[in-house]
Amino acid sequence: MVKGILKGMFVVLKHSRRKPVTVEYPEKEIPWHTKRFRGRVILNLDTCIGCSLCSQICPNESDHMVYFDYDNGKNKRKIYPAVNIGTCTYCGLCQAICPTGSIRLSNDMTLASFEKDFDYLPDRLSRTEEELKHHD
Amino acid sequence: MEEKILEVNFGPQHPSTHGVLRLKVKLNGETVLSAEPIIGYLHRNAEKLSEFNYYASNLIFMDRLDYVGNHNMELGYVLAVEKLAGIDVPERAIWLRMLFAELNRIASHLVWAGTMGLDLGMITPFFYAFRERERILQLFEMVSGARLTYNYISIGGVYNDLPNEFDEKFKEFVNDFPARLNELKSLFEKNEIFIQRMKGIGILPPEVAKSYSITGPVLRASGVNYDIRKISPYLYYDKVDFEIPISHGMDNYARFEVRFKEMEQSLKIAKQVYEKLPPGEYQNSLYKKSGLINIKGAGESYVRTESPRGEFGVYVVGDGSKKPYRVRIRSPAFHNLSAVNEMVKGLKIADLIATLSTLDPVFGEVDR
Amino acid sequence: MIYSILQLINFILTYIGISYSQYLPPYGALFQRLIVDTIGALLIFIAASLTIVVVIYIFRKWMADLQQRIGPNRVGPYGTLQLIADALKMFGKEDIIPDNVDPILFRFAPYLVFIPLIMSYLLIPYGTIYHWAIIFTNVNVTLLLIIAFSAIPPIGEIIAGFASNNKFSLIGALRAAAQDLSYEIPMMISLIGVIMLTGSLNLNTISQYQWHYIPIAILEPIGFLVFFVAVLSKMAVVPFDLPESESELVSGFNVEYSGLRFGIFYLGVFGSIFFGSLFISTVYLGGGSDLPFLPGFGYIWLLIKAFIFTFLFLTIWVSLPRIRVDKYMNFGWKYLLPLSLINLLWTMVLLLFIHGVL
Repeated sequence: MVKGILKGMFVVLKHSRRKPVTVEYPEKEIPWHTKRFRGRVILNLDTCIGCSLCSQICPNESDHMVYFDYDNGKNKRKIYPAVNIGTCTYCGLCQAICPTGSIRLSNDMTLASFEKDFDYLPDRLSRTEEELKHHD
Repeated sequence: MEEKILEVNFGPQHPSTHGVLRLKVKLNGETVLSAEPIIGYLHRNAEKLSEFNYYASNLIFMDRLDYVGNHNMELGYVLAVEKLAGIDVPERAIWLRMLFAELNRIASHLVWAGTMGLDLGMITPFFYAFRERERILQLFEMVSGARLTYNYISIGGVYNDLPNEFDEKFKEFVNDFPARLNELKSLFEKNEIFIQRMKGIGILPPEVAKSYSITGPVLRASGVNYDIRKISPYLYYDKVDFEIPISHGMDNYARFEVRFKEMEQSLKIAKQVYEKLPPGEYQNSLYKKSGLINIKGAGESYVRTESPRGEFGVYVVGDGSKKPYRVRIRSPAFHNLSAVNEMVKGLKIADLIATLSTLDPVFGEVDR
Repeated sequence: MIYSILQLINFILTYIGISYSQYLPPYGALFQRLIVDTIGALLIFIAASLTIVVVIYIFRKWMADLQQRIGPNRVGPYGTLQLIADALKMFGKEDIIPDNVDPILFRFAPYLVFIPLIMSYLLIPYGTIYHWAIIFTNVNVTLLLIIAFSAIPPIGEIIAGFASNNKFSLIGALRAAAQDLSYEIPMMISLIGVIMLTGSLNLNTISQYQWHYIPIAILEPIGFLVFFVAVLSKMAVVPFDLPESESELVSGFNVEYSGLRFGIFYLGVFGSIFFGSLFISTVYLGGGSDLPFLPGFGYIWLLIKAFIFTFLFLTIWVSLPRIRVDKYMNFGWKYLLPLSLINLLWTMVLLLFIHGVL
């Protein structure tokens, strides 16, 4: 009458011999590949041509074009994307549609900072979080 | 002595209603007289919002409908848009889509197995099921870059190809999984207390199921042989070899058996698809990069696919412009949930919770 | 020489100089006795609370081990101070009392559940260390007192469920009443078998009997199994945790309790787990009595037996589903009760055999 119950308990007891699978996160690194991980949006100011396709395709209007005075020879109207990383859904459509590959999603997932403003203008968007922390 | 009817609200915040469901239950002592579901607490307006965006941007709304089995949701929408706009898809992309849809079916059924244990009071199977699901999520992250909102299937193919590290990890997963699945099943299968709580409870005869338009594993556990992958195959499902598990038990235990057998069959399909992958392109080159904006379509189309919960249908109406006119979603969990009242008349409170867990609703899909 | 703890406290007080037995007899001796007993009761209260804290720590680490994860490991070395952090957090919470509850009964119910449990810890003989016997009470009816004390917590649960103005807790209270009624009777009938074999109600005598002869678990296996299942049901752990079914009734009878009042219920659950394992190892396995060839270590044997049972109960908690109410009462009345009566018959045959008639 209790054979099934005992078999279940035996399976549970067998697991106590296996090692735990928890990774104690900030002290130890995550042991699998995160090359394609979709983290924060990052912009390469030198190759952006200002076609505004990324702001048209963004589903919830987090990406909008603003005027920014930086001359890289290809961008005649001098408009660059500015992204609100608070409302961004990290979907990667802007990365998929960009014809020159200037806007892409980096591996950055540690986004906590002391700034209250989530709307990143193009110069802030072109630096990673590490550089932003050391710069301020 | 007259009956005293106690009306209890199993409210939106409850540890085991699988999301935000409100049930108005009328009790007589411990016996349930009627249970009326009230939904709408997770309505995020996916259908109307899709009218203001391009065809390619609407994928993220479909992703978040059924958040444990996402590839099937994206697949339904993408197939409907491709039929509307007349877009061809290369061979390798079709096989890749099948591979990920089947892996996602396994992941979704693992969530069901863990939460069914929690509803009955067992804490441990939850951790074992999520440990196996973690391996599948690592595979997905390797390919698409995210663990829950993949956004991987695109109109015209898939966004990325498989990286080099995929081969080793996939083979490791496929070799380990059958033994672990048997271990998880043995915690439930012959356990006398589990059998006592699930056999003969929540009977759903096939005529009642057909009249409520219930599909998926719930229908197959009542004895009706209906699976869209065999009746009207959509990707290359007619070129792989698999079976549809059916049971004539009509009760909770039959649904439990059908879903575990489905996991084994999905693994079989995934292995065959991986061996048959041809080399080639993975995305239609007209719609790569900046061509994503140019998708236009006029007319209407309806495509149905088999998601882990049943028949998932998307109906798209286009009027010739770059944004759709109407997107309508037929969600399987919505129709499955409507039969709760029929199934629980005369049972106890504990059986109500157990029956609801074998119906496996996900409220992102019910409320859209 | 065998000293008991109370004699030890008496000795210490005389040594310091606080001794009233020579003043105004017999009132001085009574006053002395009062002080000694109070200090003994305080000691057992502190010791029981510390033991419960250790049992909760073991539960969290063992459950994590069975589920392939690490338990608490940040607060203190290997997570040992985690429970103290939890207790401090509970002390600091706001005392929320819902609107339409019964004011006196709502506040009174947690203590009805917790205090008889701590009082039952006073009655168990803890064995010996060298020449010192750790015994607090030595009356002739300790078994009866333990059964009486273990009948009070279900009343506390029913009052808690009834006084909170909530339909879920009312259902939980009704289930607590059903559970208490169905499984106490088989437990008491299997204890009658033990009393008939050993001939007394004194727990001390029962454990000494098992030192002289063999453990009663071997003489009466059916009674041991029935008692095991009945104690499992009294402790309210899965598969028998009906009054507090977490996934159905959202915590059953203690839904409306928060902060320190909930903490008292929580300590009560783990206290009854450890008490159940102490009880079953004293009555059926001779806990606390020494082995004949190795005197002086009775306390250590009791601890080993109690911890083996605690691990067994915790493993059962983690791996089994919950039984439905009517199947539960079915099991109690139709299977356990006849088995305990068969055990009684078997004990009678055994007694006739021992006294040489058969």
